[in-house]
Amino acid sequence: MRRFRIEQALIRLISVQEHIGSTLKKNRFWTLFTQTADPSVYLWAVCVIGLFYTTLGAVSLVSLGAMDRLPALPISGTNCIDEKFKFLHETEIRSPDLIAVGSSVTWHSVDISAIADRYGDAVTALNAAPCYLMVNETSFLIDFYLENLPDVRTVLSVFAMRDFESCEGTGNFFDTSEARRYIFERQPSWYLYFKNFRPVGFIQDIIHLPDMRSGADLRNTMKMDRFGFTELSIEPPEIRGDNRVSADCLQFVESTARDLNNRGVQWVVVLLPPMPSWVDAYDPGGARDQAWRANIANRLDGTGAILLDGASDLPLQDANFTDPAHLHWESVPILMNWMLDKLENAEILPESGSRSADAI
Amino acid sequence: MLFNSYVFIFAFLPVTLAGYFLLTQFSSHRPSLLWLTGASLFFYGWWNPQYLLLLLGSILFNYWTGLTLARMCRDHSPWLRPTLAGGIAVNLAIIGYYKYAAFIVDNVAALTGAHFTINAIVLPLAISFFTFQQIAYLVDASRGETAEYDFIDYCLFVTFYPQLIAGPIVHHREVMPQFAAPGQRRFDSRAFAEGITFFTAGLFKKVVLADNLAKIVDPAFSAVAGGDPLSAATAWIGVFAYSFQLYFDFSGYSDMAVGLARMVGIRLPYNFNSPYKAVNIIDFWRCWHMTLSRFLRDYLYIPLGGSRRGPVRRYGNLLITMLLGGMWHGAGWTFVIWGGLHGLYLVINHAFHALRRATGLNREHGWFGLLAGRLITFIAVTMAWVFFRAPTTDAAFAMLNALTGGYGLIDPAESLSVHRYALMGVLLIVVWSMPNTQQMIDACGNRHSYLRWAPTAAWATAVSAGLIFSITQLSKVSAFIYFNF
Repeated sequence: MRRFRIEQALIRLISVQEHIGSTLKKNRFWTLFTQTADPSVYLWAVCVIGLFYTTLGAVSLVSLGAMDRLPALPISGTNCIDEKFKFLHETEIRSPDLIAVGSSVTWHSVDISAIADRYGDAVTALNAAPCYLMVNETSFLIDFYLENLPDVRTVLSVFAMRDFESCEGTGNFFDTSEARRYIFERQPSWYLYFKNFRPVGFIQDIIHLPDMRSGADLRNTMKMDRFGFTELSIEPPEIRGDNRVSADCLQFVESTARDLNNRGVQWVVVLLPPMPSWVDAYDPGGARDQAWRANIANRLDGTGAILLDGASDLPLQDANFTDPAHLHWESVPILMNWMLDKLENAEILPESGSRSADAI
Repeated sequence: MLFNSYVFIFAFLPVTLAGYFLLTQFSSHRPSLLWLTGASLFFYGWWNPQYLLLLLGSILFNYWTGLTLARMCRDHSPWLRPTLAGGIAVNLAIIGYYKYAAFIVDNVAALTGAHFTINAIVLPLAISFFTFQQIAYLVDASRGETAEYDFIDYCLFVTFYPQLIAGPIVHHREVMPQFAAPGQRRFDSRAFAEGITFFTAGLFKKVVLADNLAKIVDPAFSAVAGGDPLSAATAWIGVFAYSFQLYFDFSGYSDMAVGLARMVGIRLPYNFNSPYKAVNIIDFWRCWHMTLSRFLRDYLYIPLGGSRRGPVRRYGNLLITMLLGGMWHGAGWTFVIWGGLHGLYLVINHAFHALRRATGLNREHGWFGLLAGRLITFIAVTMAWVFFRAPTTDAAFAMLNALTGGYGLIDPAESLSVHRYALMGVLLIVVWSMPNTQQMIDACGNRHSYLRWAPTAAWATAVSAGLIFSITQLSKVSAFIYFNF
């Protein structure tokens, strides 16, 4: 009985299909569309239609650009990284001597305007940190920047425990030759829109980019100031998930420090203070957090890198954070002032005469 | 050089095709075949020029041995069998050295407790394919089943770039007559159009479907290999995704090979025939990597005695054939277990058929029986793929443990990927209900007339879109997947 019903349904489906088919056959366009041609005509059609698609794609890119909805060139395939590369391509700061490199922890923590206010032309700095990077990827990115920015003397990286979760592989997350041509040589690289086209992300970006770029999308804001810094203002603070530290990442910290030392570049590693409610939720007593900090200190010992641990003398409250890896923009000056004072003490930065150790 | 690379699509292929069709204008067919042979050697040497010498040495040795065997066969020489054995032994020794030496030494050392070590040897690309192809040639030469092939033809038979790297494993009887036929070398727009369509279908399967499925598969298998507990829900997604990834990857590559050969007027054998539609394991092996199955049947299973010496020998022969088939895929216990599992499946399947015949229950299956058979076969094959994919046996057993809920059914920390389950469902419907590439293009038993290829504007639109979209997906750029940051 059941099988009979299925057969009935199939017969009905076939009759519907035949009905659609006969209706389409009466349509002249459809007839032309499905008419068998000479295979050589077919081959020409494949080429011409291919050319048409490519032209359509190019016209779409131009139109999106005109509407300010064109995503950044897909060098990494991740919008916030590619937007940072776009910023670096466009910025007029071409020869910085200090760059901030790391994950979004660095991007949202290092407000270069604080450095510009203090030191004026004495220090040329740039926030070149994108997002999502683990330590091995940060290491890869530092190497790429230093290869292309020969004037850099100081690299500043702010880390949270989240950056140390997984460091499999070399951290190579983009094609450096493509990135070099686009960012530093400023060569036309429009072909990357075709070569690295990823439709889902591209369409999502077309829809959401204007809000991200204007800062209206608070959670995914990419509104950068002229130094590449972006303010975060998510309220109330979010505790988010637990983090586990991978030993591989610690190894990368040490190897990067030694590499920079060999290049004669000063690496400043800043550890973000722990967010109190995160510690209460996942690490009561803070033993894991302390162990992570101690491990980094051990790894950096004797490498020439400078470690500034926010946990030791920068006690922040939940309200200073947006989440365990990011500071609320209103609290960024606290971190910046503390950091710059420390760097002045270490004679990494020149004496400014405007020390603000009491700002906390 | 891979088919799915810019250098192949935008440089090697256009230059090779242009040169080939230009040279077909000559009255002699030698220049065009010589060009294809040269292009094929360049294609192989692009990866590592050093191994060109190995490939050429292997070709020279086997060509000479094949001629000798054919002559001995004609003369009824008593040295025929020893010469054949020697020829096969040399081939097996080469593949044994490059592919299995480290595996054998490691296991001997583990068994005896001795401290042997062997330096890692880089496996020459395609060694398994060109070795098996030539062993088949030697065996046929010893049976008097080969003609006196021209050396250039033989060279092209082994190195022909569409099939050199990953098959299909071509039999000399299939392609040698085509190389010799003058009509094959004229530009045939129909064959070229079919070739482009095959190539596009394969490229799409490889770079759009398989490579994206890898983003689900790799983290799952990396997690178990790294000792991370994986929930059953995530593990099942990982192994199902691998089943589809492997199918789309390998059948896609085979489609590209068939298409590339078709462009120059050569018809290669099909390698896949909708294997996941199989209703039992015997059926599966008739549809999966068909040219390897054929080789194993003709040159291993049947010479071992096949089914001619009673059921016990038959089952033994099946197990041996599948174990060696597993070893052919790679030097590792995971491949041995995978082959052994399939051997066991085949034994059970044959025994079940025998039981049904003995009990008179071998009537036709109803639709429910067919569906159940298809589902059971798919799950059995998927479980065996765990060993095929896992880097170690420990990782494979950890994955099996995860599949059975050993680390929990669902990890509360991870959101249940409903869309991924839906994707698996869609892919299952696709592989179960859609006609395969040759059914669409060559209309091999295609009942679905609406998906039968013809040189129409509709197909030109679809093929052009598929080709351009696939080309945009060749680069390895992919978004970071941990977006909760």
